[in-house]
Amino acid sequence: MEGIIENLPVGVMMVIGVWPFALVTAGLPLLLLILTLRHGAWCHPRRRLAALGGFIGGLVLGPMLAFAVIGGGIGDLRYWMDWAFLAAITGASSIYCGLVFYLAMPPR
Amino acid sequence: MAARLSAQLEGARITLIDGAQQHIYQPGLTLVAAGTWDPAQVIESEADWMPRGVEWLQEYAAEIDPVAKAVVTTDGKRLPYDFLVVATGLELAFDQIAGFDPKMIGRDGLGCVYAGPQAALGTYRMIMALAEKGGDAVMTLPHTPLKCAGAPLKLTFITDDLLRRHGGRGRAKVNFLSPLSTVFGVPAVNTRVLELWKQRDIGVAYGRRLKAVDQGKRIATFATNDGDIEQRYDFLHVVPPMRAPAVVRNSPLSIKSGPMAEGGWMEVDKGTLRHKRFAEIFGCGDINGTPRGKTAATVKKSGIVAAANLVSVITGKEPALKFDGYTSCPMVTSIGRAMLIEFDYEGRLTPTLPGVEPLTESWFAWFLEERMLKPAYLAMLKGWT
Repeated sequence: MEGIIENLPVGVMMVIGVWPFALVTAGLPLLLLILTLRHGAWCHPRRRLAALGGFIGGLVLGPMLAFAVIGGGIGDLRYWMDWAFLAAITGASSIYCGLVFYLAMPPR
Repeated sequence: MAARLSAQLEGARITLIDGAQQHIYQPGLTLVAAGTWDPAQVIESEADWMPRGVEWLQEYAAEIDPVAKAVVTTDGKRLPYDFLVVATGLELAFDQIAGFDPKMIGRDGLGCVYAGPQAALGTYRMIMALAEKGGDAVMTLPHTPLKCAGAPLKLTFITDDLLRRHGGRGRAKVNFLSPLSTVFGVPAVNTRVLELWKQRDIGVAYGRRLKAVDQGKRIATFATNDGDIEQRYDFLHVVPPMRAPAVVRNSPLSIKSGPMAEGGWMEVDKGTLRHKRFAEIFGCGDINGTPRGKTAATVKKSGIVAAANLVSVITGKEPALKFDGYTSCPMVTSIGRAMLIEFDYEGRLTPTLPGVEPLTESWFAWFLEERMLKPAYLAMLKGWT
């Protein structure tokens, strides 16, 4: 735990190192939220369907992007920490894509 | 150190003597040699990372006079000091290998990951040439203390992996020649690496110190207890002997007797990192004549100790912090896998991240090496960690 706390500034430096990507990633849902606010209808079926599609897309896209950016492949996953890390990436990418697709779909 | 000290010492005048314009992120050199990083990724501008409030003298230190408390620069300027931090790094002693010129790296089968970004790229090209044509890969280790003692081992793993990926492993032999009776100083890591090399058909021979290279004939000469032996190679990874730069080696600061005297390393207390004879001098990084640890991770941890202890001494107290010799080596075992090995002066494994098993190959450890270590290093330059 000490290692994690001690390395928190490293996370800040990582974000600084990829700031255009970080900005777009964080800004996209916010932008879509602003653009779709006036539409209302938060639980419209089309939006639910889009969110589901985005979620499934994120499931596939997350690991693909992770291997493309970090390197390695499925054969390099050797013990539980590797799988947990990939699961965290996949989970985050699924939720993120689901949210973006949800927000991007006009409710009517 | 300068960033830490400028943050901790209000009103102090801090001068940093360094003639380098480029700052090389040396832990990234093995990734350049693996073909996964571009050389530009390891080059930073020194000016971009210079802390505020620090006076940067763009020259090198040529002489240290600890009795008169002054540093003389290469341009002949004499700078008196009250307190001094020596962080010169080390010197690659290519001159101790007969017939070897660093300019030869990247040609005729010669590689050396330590000699800078272009040399690392040249090393990658030589490995790829071996993958295409096949032949004998000879990997070496020096008899001296060395920075990133894992790098020669990583290069061996990477060579094997690149050969396999490009279909050349069947046509190539990979052998690691060590001047010692081990390949790594930490017994548990040594055993694990040898186990992996056995699985990958990488041969090991001990008691062989690289003495000379004949690039034209592609023959390396090794000194052994039974006399010199010649070894033909198609790819030779040269890891030169290492020593303290002349400015420390030839000064009163260096160790004068014992096994560390040959390299001229600085005589510091391994706990406080304060010079044993000159109380106003502290050492940071590779220059320290400590039992283990010449890595960026050592600098990261020991820099905190040295800076805090120096501040204590300046304020009239005794140094309170003790460095335990922590160092870390993300041992790349193939492109996409690594073992995150951390240990202390005594060679005890000291993992700091929960859930990370030091002797297990892992994609997560590779992620740390490939994506996290450089931000960690840059955060250290800022004095944040």
